[in-house]
Amino acid sequence: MKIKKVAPVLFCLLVFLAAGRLLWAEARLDMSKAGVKGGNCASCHGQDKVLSKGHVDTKAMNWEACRACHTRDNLSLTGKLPNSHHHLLAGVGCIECHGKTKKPEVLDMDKCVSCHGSTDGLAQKTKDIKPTNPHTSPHYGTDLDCNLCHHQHTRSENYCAECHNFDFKTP
Amino acid sequence: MEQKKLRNGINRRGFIKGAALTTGAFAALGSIGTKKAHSAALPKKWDMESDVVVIGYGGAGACAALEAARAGSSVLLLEKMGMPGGSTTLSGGIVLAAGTKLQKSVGINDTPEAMYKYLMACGQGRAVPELVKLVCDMSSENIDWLAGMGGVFTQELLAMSGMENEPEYAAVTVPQKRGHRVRGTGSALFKVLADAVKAEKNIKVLTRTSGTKLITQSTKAAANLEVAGLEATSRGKTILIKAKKAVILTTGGIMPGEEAEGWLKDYSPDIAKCVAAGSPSSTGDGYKMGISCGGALKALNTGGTLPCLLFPGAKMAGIVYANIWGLPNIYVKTDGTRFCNEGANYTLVSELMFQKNATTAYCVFDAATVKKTFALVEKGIEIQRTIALGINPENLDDQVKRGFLYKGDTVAELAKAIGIDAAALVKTMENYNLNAEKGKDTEFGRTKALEPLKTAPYYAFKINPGLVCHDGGLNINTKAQVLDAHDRVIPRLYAAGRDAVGIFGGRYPASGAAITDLLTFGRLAGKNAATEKAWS
Repeated sequence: MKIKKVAPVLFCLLVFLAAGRLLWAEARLDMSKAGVKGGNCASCHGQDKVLSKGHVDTKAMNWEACRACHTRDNLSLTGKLPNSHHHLLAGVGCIECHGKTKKPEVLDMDKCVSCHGSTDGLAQKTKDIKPTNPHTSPHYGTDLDCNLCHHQHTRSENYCAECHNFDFKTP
Repeated sequence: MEQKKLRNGINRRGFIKGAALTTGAFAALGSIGTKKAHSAALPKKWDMESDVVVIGYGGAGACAALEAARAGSSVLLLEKMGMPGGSTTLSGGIVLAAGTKLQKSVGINDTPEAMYKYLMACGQGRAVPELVKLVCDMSSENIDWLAGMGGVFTQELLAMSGMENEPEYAAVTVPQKRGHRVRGTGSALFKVLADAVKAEKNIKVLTRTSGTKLITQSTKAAANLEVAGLEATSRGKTILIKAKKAVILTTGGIMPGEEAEGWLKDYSPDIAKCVAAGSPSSTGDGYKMGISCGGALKALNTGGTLPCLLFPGAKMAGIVYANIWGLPNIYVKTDGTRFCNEGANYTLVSELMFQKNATTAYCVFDAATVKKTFALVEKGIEIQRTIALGINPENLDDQVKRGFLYKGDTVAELAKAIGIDAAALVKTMENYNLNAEKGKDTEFGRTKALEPLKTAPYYAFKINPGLVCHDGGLNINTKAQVLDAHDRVIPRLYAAGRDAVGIFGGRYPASGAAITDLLTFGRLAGKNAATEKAWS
């Protein structure tokens, strides 16, 4: 009955970790109100090493500055960073999308479309992508929610791959 | 420990046992699992609650949610995928119906009774008469219901969509055009439902959320435990949902694949060999939840099978529509010989694929057929681009490069590209062309699109029997309530669409059969669930 003895200890440890995680998330939110800078990794990630070893200091950088080294063909960042980073680096902070709130809500695609334009227009722009246009489909037309593929706070995914073998690299 | 196991739902072994027991002889599964579960207490705290919880937001789920909400109930509509639609969105968007205004407008004098006779003949003695009758009687009203929400069914798309013309069935009742189709196929049909759901304030939709386990409680009144709620997985989190009136299972049955391995194979070897052509989210969740509280499964060895095209690496197949749209081609086995009348109904062709060792075959056609396919697309039939031939006619070379289309400047070279015997394929083509020129297929009796294939280059793609929907499912009554092995109601549990057996039993009758079925039982499940008295 070793488990019986260990279980309470494990439980306490879990509670402790969960609480820590919550506090950390809260801290992140507080900082967002103070105006997070996209290039200042530590403002959200704290002491975590999030950049590769020897990476130049990014504190003062914006999206354009990143693009000086990271092009589409060389050191591409496609799919590497959750899209909130792109937004932050381009000067679009938490409040621009979520508004001034303590409890940011999940947003629907109307918010994306309000800046990025209609999905019909987007589908036009990507009509020549092979093997097929990722922004329209016989099943859903141009109605698919952007967030099914393009995530802001986690790694993006290729929703088509639920059924198809389209090898899209999702930004 | 025993209790814990039960609370965690049934294991696979139990599932197989349940399935095996119930389809054939209907043994007493209901009473096995339920007794012990009596002592399982209800959760102290629920994360969410709603009058009615509908699990699975495809066609059936949408119908159920709409009717329940319109009857004044609050509805929580769960969808496992990121987007609703399920297999309905992937379908041809056809509704089988009789005695409709559209039929009358083109002078077709059809009745629900005639449709009943046809469906019962397809049921091969196993379809449940009262369920079939209900679907036929409601079919015309279902078309009106969809039309009232913006569904446009047009005269030129009205078609005979099943085996009505085959001698065996024509002898039973006069063949009629009953396939009512909306422009833009299944996605357009589903959009009608989805737009209505969006407009309904009483419905809350949760995507990326799947039902995992039903929670039951005992009642004095009924033999079976009643469903009180469920455990669901929502975006990685486990949540408990209280269903005050009822739970409706509409998860889409099961598709061949990992989840189906192990039991579909034992039970229905032919269906297990099919490639999946319905939504990959159909993994038997509804069956599992249903039998976990005593529901009985029926007719598991039936399904809608069609010749399909599996794109390499893809999880699901596309339907080969070439012969539905009258495009000339032949199907050959791996030995290079034909095995069927390709123009016959797809159910019959796919049956022959199993019987004649042709579960891997090739659809062979020529450049003239490609041209005809283009013409079809240009005619604006609004078929999905890829389905006219099974392939996309717009970028053939790209498809050759990607490896799912074979091409040869001669028939022999095509055979070489496929990897089958060249002499055999050349001989097969010569025979077919001779017959086509004479206008009589002496080998297999093909009459539809019997045209020579003589224009180089030649093309082929691999075909396999595919499953668009699994027809068997939970036994239900005419109120769409789930029944146990003794035909006793499981209180507060409903099923519709492919989670329920519905009208099926034998052969898949026609395109539009599954949708007319889901409209009827989805709507009934929603209406009846809303009339339940809420528990507290």
